[in-house]
Amino acid sequence: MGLFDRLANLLGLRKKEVNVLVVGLNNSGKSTVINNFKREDDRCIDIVPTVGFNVEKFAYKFFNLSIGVLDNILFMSIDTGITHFPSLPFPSLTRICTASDKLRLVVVKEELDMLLQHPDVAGRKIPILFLANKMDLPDSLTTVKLVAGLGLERIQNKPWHIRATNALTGEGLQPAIEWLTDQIRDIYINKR
Amino acid sequence: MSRWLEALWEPSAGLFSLPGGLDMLDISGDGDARLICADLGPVGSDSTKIRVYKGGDQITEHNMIEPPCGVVGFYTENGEHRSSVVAVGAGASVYIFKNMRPFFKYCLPHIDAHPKEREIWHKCGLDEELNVLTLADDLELLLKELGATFLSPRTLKFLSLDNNLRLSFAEQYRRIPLVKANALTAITIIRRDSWNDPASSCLILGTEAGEVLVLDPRAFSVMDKYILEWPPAIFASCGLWTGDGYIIIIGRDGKIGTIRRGSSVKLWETLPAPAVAIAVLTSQGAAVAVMDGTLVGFSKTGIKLWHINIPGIILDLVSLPVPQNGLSLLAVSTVGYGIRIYDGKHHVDTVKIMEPVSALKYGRMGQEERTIAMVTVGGGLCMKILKRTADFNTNNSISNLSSSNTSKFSIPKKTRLFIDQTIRERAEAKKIHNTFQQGFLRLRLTTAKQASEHLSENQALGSNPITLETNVLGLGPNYMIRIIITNISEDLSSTELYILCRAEDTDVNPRVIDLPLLPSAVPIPLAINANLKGQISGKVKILLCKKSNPKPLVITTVILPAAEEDFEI
Repeated sequence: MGLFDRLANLLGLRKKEVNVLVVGLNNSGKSTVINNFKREDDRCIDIVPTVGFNVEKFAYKFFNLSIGVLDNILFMSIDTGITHFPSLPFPSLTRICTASDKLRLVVVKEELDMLLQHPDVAGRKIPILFLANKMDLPDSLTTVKLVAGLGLERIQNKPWHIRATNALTGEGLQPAIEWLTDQIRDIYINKR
Repeated sequence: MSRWLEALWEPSAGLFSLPGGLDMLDISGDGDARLICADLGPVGSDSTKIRVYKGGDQITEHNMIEPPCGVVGFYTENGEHRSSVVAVGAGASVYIFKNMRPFFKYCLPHIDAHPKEREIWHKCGLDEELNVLTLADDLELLLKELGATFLSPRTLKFLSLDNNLRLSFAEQYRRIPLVKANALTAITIIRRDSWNDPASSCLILGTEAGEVLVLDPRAFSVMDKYILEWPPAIFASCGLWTGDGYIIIIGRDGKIGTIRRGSSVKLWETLPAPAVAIAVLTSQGAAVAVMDGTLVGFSKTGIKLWHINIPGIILDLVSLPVPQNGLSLLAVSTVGYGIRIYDGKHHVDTVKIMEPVSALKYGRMGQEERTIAMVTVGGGLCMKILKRTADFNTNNSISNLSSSNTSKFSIPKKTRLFIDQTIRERAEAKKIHNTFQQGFLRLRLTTAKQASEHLSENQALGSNPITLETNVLGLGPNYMIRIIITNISEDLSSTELYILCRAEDTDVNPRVIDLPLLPSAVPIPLAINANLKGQISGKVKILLCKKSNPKPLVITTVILPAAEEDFEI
């Protein structure tokens, strides 16, 4: 590492590599959310169901986010997602739930509990961002109802945040991702 | 821990459904499956409706004139999500809804009335002046002759009317051709020619006149027609109709049989009691819930494989295919024992529920593939989702082991060894057969030999339980061998027994002793003198023999120790 690199590092100018795992049930809008972070000309027009695992890299403020999209229903286990990020720390997690599908709330809760009990997640202070997607649909649940329905108040050892979003228009995504980057920055500052 | 997630429990949904009255279908092609429910209304009311639920909320309802006998959802085109239609069988018609809007009505063909009855009404229609009294007399006679079941509703209505109302009734109807309406008894679907999803399906209708009609999914015209002569009550289908698919039919009296395309009905057997419901298993068989409280498993050729007793009264039965685990489970709704889940004949799980469930449906609801929808007898709607991590194998691994000799072994069929073996078998069939026959004969011979030997031995020993006790007395070289013989059986021993002594390096006197008749449990002492010939120890074999039998019954060996040197005194 050259002198200049070290200097840039010290001053916090150099962008850090951060891994973000995006988890959600099928058809909850994970790929659509990520599509929103891309530059205009890179965006896909048709979003097809993700099979397996996708990794996208892009820069946002101070960090190079590499975001992995994982469909845990298709993949049967989040283990795959975690092993795809061998360069731990794995500091952040975005969980997307469909605000409109009341029937699957129990499924989301079950999957979330399993994720939180995962040995790579359980004991660590990983910020979790919940996106209550599809808020534009008429029968969507409010974030307050989702917090109660998913029992989010039980998560005490991790910073978490919930945000109603609409991935089609990008509404609510910017404040959500800003919260996430703030959290990640805090982690790095505390480490130093 | 439960294997089910409770997604919805709506105790006051006001739904009343019977087996076959529920289906799940993506009605508008937007990827979200809805629950379609034939609601018969509370007991005593006539308000029958078709209700459609999205998630836990009712989105539409449609009034029906007649109570439906079943609701099925299917696709009319291969690979076309938007071609989904809902068919509701009621009365003599099938109402087809597309996007939950009335789309088509298929009417069952009329049945011809009895020729005599037709003749009477025809004659009456030709008459200038209507003579109600003759008409009434003729029909009265016909009723006595044929019985009410063979008469048309018009005749029955006419005869039940008051005398002074008959004239206007007959006047109104006598010139209209007489027909007898048919009624639908059962409705189901069978995939037409594709295993892909979604695939077009043929509609299968069963009528009161004992016909089975298979309708084309596009034109709703009759593709195939079968005459059963007994009304089918429950259908199940398996496979592709244009391929090797078949329809399993159960009659009201418990007759069960199958129809394949192009062949007539093949009866399996008659069930001991009427059937409640049938569920097809992915292993190509079917399970039938019978009203006598048993669940019967059939193979695809109609062989009864197993039957188990179910506690409580059975209300419905559906199959729960879980392809991720390679399982095909059965859910049986019982009164008082919840929903019992079976893997074949093994009970693996029970889903507890507040009220007995009158109708069950398992399938895709919304985005969730493994949802079970239940309508309770009290009108409640409950939905549960099978957990992704649910494992039905842990509980029954032991019971599976015990039944493995009856179930199929999963031997991989195309191994290298298997292929070599098949080629060799084909090439040298005669030789292999001869070798096998030879070996088999030899095996039989050896077995027979062993068996006969065993038998004769048993006879010899079993009838002569005699103990032999030997002692060697003396310092040598002159010894005395004392033998004590005891008959330990309760009867007298057989005669012709003798004791034979065989000796090496020893003089024995006497060599042979004939035994007397041995009374039960009395020890008999015998004495034999034995003199050692040399300085080394001797060996005497004592054999208990029977004169007719060359083989000794008992053998003992006595060792005579080497004698001490003679002392010179």
